[in-house]
Amino acid sequence: MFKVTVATGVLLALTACGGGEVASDDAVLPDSLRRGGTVVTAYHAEASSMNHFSSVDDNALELQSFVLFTTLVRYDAELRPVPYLARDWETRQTRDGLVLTFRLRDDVDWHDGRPTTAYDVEFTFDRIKDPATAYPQSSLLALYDSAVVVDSFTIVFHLQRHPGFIDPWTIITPMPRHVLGDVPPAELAHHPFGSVSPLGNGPFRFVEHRPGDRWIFEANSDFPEPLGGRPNIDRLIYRVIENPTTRLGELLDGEVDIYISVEPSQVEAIEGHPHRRVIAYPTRAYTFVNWNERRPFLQDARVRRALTMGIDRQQIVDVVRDGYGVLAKGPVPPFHWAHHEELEPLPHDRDGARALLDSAGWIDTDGDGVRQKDVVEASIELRTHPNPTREDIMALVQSDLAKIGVEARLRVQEAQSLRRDITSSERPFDAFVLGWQADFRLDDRIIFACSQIDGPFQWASYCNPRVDEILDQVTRMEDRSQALPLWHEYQEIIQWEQPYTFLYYDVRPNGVRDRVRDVTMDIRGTFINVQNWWLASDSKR
Amino acid sequence: MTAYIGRRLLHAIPLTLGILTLVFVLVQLAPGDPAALYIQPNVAPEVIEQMRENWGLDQPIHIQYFQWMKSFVTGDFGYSLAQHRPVTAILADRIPNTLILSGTALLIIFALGIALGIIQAVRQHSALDNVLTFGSLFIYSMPSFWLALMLILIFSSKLHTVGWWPDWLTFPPSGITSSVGYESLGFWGKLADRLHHLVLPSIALGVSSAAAVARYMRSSMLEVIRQDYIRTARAKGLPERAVILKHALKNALLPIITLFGLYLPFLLSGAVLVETVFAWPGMGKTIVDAIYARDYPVVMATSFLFAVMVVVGNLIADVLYAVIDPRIRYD
Repeated sequence: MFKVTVATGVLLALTACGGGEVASDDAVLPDSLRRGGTVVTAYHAEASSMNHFSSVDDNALELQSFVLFTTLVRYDAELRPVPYLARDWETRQTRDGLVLTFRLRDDVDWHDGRPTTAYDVEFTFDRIKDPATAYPQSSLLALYDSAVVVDSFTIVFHLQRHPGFIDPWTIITPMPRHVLGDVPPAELAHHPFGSVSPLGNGPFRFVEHRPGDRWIFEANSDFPEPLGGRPNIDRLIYRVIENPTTRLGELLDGEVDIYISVEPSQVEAIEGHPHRRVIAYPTRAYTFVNWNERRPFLQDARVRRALTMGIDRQQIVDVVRDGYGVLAKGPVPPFHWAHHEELEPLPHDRDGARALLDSAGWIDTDGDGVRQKDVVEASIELRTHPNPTREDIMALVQSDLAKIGVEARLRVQEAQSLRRDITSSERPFDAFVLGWQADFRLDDRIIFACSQIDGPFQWASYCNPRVDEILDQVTRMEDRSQALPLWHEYQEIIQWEQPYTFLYYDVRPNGVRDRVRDVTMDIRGTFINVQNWWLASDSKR
Repeated sequence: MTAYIGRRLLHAIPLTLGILTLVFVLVQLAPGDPAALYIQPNVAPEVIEQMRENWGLDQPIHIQYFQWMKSFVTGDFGYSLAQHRPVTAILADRIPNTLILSGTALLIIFALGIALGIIQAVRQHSALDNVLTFGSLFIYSMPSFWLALMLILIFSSKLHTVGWWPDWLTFPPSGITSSVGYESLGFWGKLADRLHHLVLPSIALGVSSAAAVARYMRSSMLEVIRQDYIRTARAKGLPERAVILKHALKNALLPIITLFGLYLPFLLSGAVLVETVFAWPGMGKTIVDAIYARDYPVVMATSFLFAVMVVVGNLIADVLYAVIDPRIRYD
């Protein structure tokens, strides 16, 4: 039932060769010799805040979950929820819903020495449910009704039955009530807690934040042994270095130990270095071209299929990602349990594409190289935001489409201005290249449901009642084996109707110095086993 | 003179207010707002509305303007909506970093530029002059970010692999101090570490402008040394050194002072591209990030600082004219 496919064969090959650890007798090394040292990581973007109530970016959420705070539940490598801050949980069905009881560990302390209790969880729950807080992901707990503290380490939630009800607790990190309890909800986002003085309960303590520059954490020696205990390294530094060449220089130079999200073109330089390695893992992101079906040219599913078949997607993966990507076939990426294994991506077939366009009535009658129907030209404006990879993708798409008689005019638009255009209910655009991140608990109604047609994310203006039906049903079905056929049908329909041209599922290479040992990274993130990282003893600093 | 300075400063007040009003209207006119950064699929539209309300963005623009003005005149720059902390804290953080970098660059620009210009003028048409002319035009035509990348490639990536190259002549590619171990250094160690980190960014930021200043200085100096009073000075037997550095230099500096006035605001505005390449947390990056994030309070505060710097920079230049050239009087 919990069948989870982490990756396709290509991905496995990539991770296997990249993630291979340095062969040595490391395994027999006593723990005490693994202790000590500082690991410096570098990423291109700042982690906005350690205040969970105002965070929405992945970097911040990941540092919160794995470094500074603890979540009640974690995913294991197969993406099954397992206990973490919660010792265990049990559910009881009632007439109108579900009662969920968490028993918390009693040995996890805030870094000022106070215990983390059910009252902290209750406080966090209350603030999330309070609209005045404006907690970004409040929809996580939309079907939760109330919380009751039974004793200091037991909390009971009343909720409506829904699949994946436990998943929010892999994201939400309880916040300290004794620090933030008196802050009015509307002022929580601006509280100095987030940037100046966060107080956590995780494996690392907060030391210092230099905004836009670095976060510094140090090992929490009181972290309970059953949760992994004190981290091996003494300090963890998260640096913000925007320019990729600089990040590469710092990694090769030895100032940075882990370069998060290497540009694919830099992989060769890193692998060429005798003491650096590359660890690649698939992320939840995919890249696509969105077609606006309100445009006459893009209304016909045959046309959209033709566009997809006309675009050489493998070439895009090879050129812009140096192969670090997997040809995409739909909105359910390979990490997700409902991913359709047997479905093949539409072939790259120019003749087939031309035939489809002909059959849809788009023919180049005036011989200018661009097809038309009645008085409408097969010409679209293709947009993206300033981003070298996506700009390259646009250029490749443009040249591919020209070969099947479709004209694409390219436009790079400032990010917020593009966001305004695409989220506007008028949909004043033809097509654009963007990325999307699939959640572990996937709900695609927001992007493809008819009811969302004027909503901010229904960019394709795609509407198919059968898809609506399926998406409604799968979000209610608790039995995965029952939902799987519906998920498959959904992926088949989307492939046939191509509201998007799905380009590739991202694979992210990371550069790691050899002295940092036992680093594991996967779909769950970069810092998932940061507690186990250790530094080879001859090179500690 | 004092009266003149006072008058100039008084004039600056309405000018600055006008600039601020214009900037306020312009950033509000730009599409999007600070809450737009949170527009994501898993964020409900009601949440965005609530954020706008919490941050006062749901008010009509003139109300927002007067509220901002009110707190501004009482010295309160407000809260950054993207960084979640007071704007004054951001400025206190970033201004020293920027002053260190652009101050050093400014020193390079003018010290190096003036020195080279003098040498070239004195040895006009010599081989040295030709080499320097070629060199400065070559450097001047390089974009600073490209020069920055080349410096990183050469001085921190490649030279490590050259065996005989001394270690202290390779330079760290980013940051203000070392990531690890800086705290445990003594005072001199810290200073050396900081200077070591300052080398590449200040060169990248400074040399191309230094090349420009050298060109100005050369031509201005050439003009001056053809004047009669220089011939007189030489005729009365003054050593050449005194002729050039005492008599000629003062007059030749006048156009350079204009340049100096123009460069002063840059002390605080920083340099976006160079800061980005060297991951130097300065003002340039703060401003650009704030503009992209539509972080209104930060945009307003930094615009205010620049307006002040432009006004003050020009004022300083005008005062310096009078100091150097007694013929110029403002009273």
